Amino acid sequence: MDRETTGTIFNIQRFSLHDGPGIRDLVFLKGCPLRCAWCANPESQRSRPELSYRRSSCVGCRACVAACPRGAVRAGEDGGVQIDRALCGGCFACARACCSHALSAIGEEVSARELVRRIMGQHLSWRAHSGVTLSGGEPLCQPEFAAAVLRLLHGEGTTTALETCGCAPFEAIELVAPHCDLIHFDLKLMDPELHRRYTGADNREILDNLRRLSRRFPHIPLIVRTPLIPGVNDSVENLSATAQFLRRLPSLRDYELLPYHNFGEGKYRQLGREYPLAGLERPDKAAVRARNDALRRIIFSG
Amino acid sequence: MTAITTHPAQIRTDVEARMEDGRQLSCPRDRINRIMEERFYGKKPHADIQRAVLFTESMRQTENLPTCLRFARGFEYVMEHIDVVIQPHELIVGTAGGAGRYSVLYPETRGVQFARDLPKILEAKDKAGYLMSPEEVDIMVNQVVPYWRGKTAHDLYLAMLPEDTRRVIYGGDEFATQGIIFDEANNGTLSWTGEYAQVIEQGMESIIRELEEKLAAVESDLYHNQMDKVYYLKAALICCRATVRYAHRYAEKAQSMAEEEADPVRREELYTIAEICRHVPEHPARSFYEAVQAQWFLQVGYRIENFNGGGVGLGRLDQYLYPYYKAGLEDGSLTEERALEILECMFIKVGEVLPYQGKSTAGGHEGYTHFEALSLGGQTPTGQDATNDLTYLILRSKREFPFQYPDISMRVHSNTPEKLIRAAAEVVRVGYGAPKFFNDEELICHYLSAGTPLDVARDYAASGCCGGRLPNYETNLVAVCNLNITAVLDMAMNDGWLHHGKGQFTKLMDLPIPSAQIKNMDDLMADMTAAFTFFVRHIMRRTGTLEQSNSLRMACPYTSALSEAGRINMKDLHQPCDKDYGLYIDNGTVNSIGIGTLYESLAALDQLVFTEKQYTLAQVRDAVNSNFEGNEPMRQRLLNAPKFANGDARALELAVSFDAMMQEVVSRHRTLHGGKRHMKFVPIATHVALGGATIATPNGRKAGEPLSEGISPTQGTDGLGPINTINAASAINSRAHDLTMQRLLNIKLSPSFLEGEEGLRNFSQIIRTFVDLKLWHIQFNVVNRDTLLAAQREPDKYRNLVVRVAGYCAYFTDLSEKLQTEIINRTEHTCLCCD
Repeated sequence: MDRETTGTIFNIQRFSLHDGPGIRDLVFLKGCPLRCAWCANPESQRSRPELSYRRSSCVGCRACVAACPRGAVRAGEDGGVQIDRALCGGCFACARACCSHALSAIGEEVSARELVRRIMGQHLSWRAHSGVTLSGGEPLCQPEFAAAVLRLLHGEGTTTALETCGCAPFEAIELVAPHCDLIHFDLKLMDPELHRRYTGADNREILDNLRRLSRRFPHIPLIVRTPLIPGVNDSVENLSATAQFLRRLPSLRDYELLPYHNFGEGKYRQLGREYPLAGLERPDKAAVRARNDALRRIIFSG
Repeated sequence: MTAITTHPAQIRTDVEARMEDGRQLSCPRDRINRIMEERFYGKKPHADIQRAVLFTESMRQTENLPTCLRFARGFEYVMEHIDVVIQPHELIVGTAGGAGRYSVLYPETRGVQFARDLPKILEAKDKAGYLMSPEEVDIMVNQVVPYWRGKTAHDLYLAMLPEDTRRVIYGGDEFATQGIIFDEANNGTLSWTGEYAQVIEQGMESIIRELEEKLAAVESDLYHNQMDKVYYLKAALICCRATVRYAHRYAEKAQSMAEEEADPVRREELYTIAEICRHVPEHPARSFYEAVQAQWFLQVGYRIENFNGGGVGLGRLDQYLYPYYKAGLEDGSLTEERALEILECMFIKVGEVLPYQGKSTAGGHEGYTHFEALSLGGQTPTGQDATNDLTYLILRSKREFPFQYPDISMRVHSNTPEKLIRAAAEVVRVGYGAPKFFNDEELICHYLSAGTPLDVARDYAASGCCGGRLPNYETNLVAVCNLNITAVLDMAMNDGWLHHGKGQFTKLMDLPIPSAQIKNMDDLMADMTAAFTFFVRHIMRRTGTLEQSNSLRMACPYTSALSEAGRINMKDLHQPCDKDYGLYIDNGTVNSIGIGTLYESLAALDQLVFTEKQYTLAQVRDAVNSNFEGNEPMRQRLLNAPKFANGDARALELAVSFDAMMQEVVSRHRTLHGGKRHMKFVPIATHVALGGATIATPNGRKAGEPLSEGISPTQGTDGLGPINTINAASAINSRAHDLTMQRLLNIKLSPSFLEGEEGLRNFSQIIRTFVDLKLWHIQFNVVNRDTLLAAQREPDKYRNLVVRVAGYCAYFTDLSEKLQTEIINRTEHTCLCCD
């Protein structure tokens, strides 16, 4: 069965240090039901492969202009090229013609077996304390694929972790969670209306899933994380409500605030999109740490 | 496009924080700070002429003696007449070149160059300059050099070198600057790890006694073919006695200084120094302090005698000093702090001596290169882990006082305690490139395959930038030859013609397959094999010639007296070894530079020319020959071809088959004594110098840019993290023969990687992976890219910033701009969170 299971990924990041214990390989699965305004990986959102254009790598050879069957790629005034995304048919002929990888297809379909083979191509001694984390996008958007990959990784003796926004049918969680040694669960906003406004989706299913996940799989350590976005979810009300909610989760190991950053901003440009939070300041890291500690005390006190 | 996860704050290393805040390197021990401030920081070394002048004076008087006796008399004369200098605050005394920081000049190797180079020192505004007075330059140029014309080791070597070999290596000059082969011949002779234990434990008197007994025995039963042993023994005795005499001169000096010293504390110290120098190295050391002083006297002797190319190795210091350290702590005569102070005084003495590098090597060895390897950890002769409390104490010194001399080499193996790796990681994260790591699992195998007994192999010590030596066991060694390995591809694509030097293009040989008929990688490999075989043949002739010429012109009776192999064989270490005891283990005469550049070029050609047929080989050749002028899209495609560093299967396959080919070719050759020839991959900084004279390469590298370093991939192409790079470095070793020598791997880590408890644990995983994969060597630069850029802008503020170059550490601001940029461009491994 595994041999046939395929999925779409857009990156394997080696040597990741902040997504679970130790040195990890991080696999990014493509496609996400949410559209968070602060998303640092906009290329993860759509489930189909898409075209990225990186101006700084372009040498201006214009091979892409000739290659495009629809005339969607045109010479730009700055010596680079311009892409009319409305005309683009997603054939990636331009990316194949590009000499410098300035134009590239984001997203690749791969079988679970092939993915695990690629991940495990490296020597193993470091994996004793480390492992592989599935991230995204939303891995639960491809539950059969995610489960197949994690099961194969367990078969290789590797520990696994999952990063999820929790926005999926609970059946998907039931399929994937048994193959995880650790789950990172993002909780963005407690207010359903605000959640809808900033992420495009309701949070009832997410909260419900989180509760059920923790009860159904109490032995799987759970770390809940909130990306702290100034003016969006950093209010006392939201964080207090979050803390109160988390107190009821039996498998919760930690709660982490992730300070907002705008490192993804340039990628919106490369994908021909607008960055919704342009101009937003990054919060002070020390202050975020202090708040995080205060919230931990509330959550984990008696 | 790089996926982004959480982002760590930028972390500064201790060294970076100190630089940015304008603070000096400092040590918790006041004495050390005072010495550093008065004599070290910002002080230019002087090129000291005493050794050259005194040695030459003696050599003029001894022309009719056998070579080893002449060198012994020269050594003795220097030891008796060189200035005796005891400097303020120091506890360890003895200098091979006067006060302060100095270089020693050795006219007998390539000294004729002094006439050309030394006058330039007077006017040079070179970064790597030395201080000399016009009078000193005048003495060197007009008194010392004239004697040596036609008499140096290098003169004989060049005269004996077959004409065609000489042309390939040297072109029209004596300096090998044409970018094909960088010949280290006579830029140093024996690169050596000294022997210290016996003198410390039993005194020089024990060696003198042994030599005297042997001399009496040989002379009482003399027949003609033992006369060389008589000369050896007499020469060795002269040197041992001269060393004792040298120490006594220090005792006399300390005594007289003590009598005039106003400060009562210093007066007592001087009396103690006098007492110690009267006792060691002649007699067995009675304390840790005496053991360290004896060790340093022996080091001075090595420096007086020999132009040690890679620096005088300190051997396994934590092993042979441990009994004294332990006893001192137990009987209360020593504290950890006092031991640190004594050791650090010795470390400063090591740092004071800078090998002289003339103009011809200035581009090849940058930034006062020296690497006096001090080995830590490893195994005992019976295979137990050898770590002890002194190992940790030395690491503590290196953490508290981040001084790059001597160069710490950590031996690691499958049984190395986690605690030791973490202690080493704490030094690594201070951010000055130390320590580097040697893998017992690979080096011991290497020695066994050369025929070494297992217990001897387990006792190896690091030597030079990334070599090993067997103290008391190995004999002989000639300087290496660095081959620009990209030349074989240039020749294969140009029908045996080679671009070299400044715009020259020369036909060196006919190749089996004309370039127009090269259809696939096998054809290309056939031509490259022929070209490589051609170069190896010349390198072997050159090395054989050097072994012959050095044995005729050179001797090292002092080193040979201290070496057990020398004493058992009763032979100078420059002479061919007859294997009564000891081995001549060739540590890599074919040194391939730019192997990463070549492998990337092969992968690019394979994909674009032979597989996808986007270009013909001729098109790529023409583009490369014209430095990709007007051909940027092709260059981009070549740059973006699959990389071995990223684990591409085909790229690795090509690399492995090339590696196997090299090993096959080299394995056909034997040393003077029948031993195996070896390869190594150690650039020092020659990848920059050779790259400067190399045209563009098919990996998209432009003309003049540095070649790749060691076995590392091209700077900046290893984007998947250090674990991946280590895996690639392991995968490109074909292990086709046991010629797995000296593969240098340099990895740049961001300081944030090493942060906190998690950082130590992750670092340990890298080292464990390195051990498991049986790589030879690994070293780390832990520095933020911003800091290096700032150091380029404000060199004054960052003049004490030390970086790891290639097996050695150097002050960043001493390096050429080209090498600085090369280091900046190395991939910095952090968590890869942002693009």
